[in-house]
Amino acid sequence: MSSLRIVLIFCVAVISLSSCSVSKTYPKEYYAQHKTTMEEMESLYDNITREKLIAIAFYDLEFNDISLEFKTDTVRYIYDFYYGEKRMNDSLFKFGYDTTLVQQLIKDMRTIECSWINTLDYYVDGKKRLLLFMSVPVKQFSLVPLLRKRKYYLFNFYTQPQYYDEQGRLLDKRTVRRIRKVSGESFWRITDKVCYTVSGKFR
Amino acid sequence: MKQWFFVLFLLFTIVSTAQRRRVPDKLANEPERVKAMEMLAHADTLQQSIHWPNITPQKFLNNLKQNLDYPFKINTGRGTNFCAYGAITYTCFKNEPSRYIQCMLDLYRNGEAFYRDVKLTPSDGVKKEAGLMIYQGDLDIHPADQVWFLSLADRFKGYLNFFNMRYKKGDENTLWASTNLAKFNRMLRRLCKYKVGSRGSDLIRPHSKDLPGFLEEKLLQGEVYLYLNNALLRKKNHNSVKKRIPSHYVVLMEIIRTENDIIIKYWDGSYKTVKEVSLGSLKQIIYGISWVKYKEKNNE
Repeated sequence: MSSLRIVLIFCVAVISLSSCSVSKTYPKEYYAQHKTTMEEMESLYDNITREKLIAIAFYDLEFNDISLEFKTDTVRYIYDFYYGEKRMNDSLFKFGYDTTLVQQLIKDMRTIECSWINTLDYYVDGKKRLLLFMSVPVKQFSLVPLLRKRKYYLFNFYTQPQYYDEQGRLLDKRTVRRIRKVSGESFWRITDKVCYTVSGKFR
Repeated sequence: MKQWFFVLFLLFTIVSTAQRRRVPDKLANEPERVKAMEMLAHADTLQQSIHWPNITPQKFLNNLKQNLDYPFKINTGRGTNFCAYGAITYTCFKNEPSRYIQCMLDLYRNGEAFYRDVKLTPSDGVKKEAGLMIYQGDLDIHPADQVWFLSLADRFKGYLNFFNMRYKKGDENTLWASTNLAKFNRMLRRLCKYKVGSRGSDLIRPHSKDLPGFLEEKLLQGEVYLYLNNALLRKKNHNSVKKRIPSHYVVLMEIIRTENDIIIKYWDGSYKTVKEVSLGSLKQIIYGISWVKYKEKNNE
């Protein structure tokens, strides 16, 4: 009886611990698996945001509750919709976005289960640059789903090749061997222009 | 002798009444802004400060000029706890930009300055770090804003700052810079000499039978600041259990009731944000409401 109990405790401990950690190889595998769709999304997002920025979030893990952030120079409009709701296109049209492109982007986000896409600004030598930011919820097993703390793969897409140290950590620039942080997180290399991290927040 | 005491007492009463009655303007104070521009123009010969080694006069002045040209584009950073100081700055820029400019110029020249009777004497750690902040978006290239926010956070303390009172690099993102509701109201009172009304607390939400109506009423009378649970307003994860604590200060600008929902417009550090929320969500997210009444005349 006591040995059975020990085995049971051991199993629970192993399952609990494994459900809390995320391997560093998973984001790379995820990227390799969805590379084509992510590149298509990058291109779509680039086309959509040539004139005005937009950010898209999914507030649920069934990918039905969408939040759209339309950004002008000084005002940010945040509207919530259900996927497929007609008034979403009306709003996109009203704010001057190409509805077909945005709908395709949203469809792609649902396909690869991406919960957030946005542009972030950062500065190198005082010059403003932009990067594309995508988040994907990690599929996690938990014995107590109610208390589960979600993790997310965060991907950064740069327009130019970036510098990394020997361990593959994203650096500020070639001459300054300082680890760059984006939204408070260090990032690791996937390709010269794409890097990732795992975080408790999707934005 | 008694007569002199009486005159002194009278003077003291008049001065204190005038201060108590200070009120914000309904519209941005344009004459004040023009005065502030002139002050900046005269400060062109500003020398490199020994107090702020990482900030050049040129960058400092450019930042101040930009704040006067585009007051509501001031950025509080990406991961900082500067939102409360941002909300205070909103009313300073709107109502008394020349006082802000004078304070900033003094701060740069002397390493310390007065904003009204509040003395800002930032610590050496703050002075060394200002101008070096990185990974905070637009705040990276605005050294004067770094000086201002860091100096305010260094000066005003509340119970949330109790375990981290001395600035270390990166503390702008920690409890060192955080602000509880009482501290926020105190900053409004001390810096701007407003008569501040407030409802709510750091843990318990304010009760109102008609919350949108209450906010509308306060907005008609003056400036309104909200202390919000940002994790509910703009979700950052999909966890089932959400933290039920406020974490963000905004300046409420407008509230509109629609058929089903409520549209709130608020200033949130560099952006005016327009967001649709349900009545239930509005009640869930608001923990503190602070307000200042407009008056026809500014008595100061």
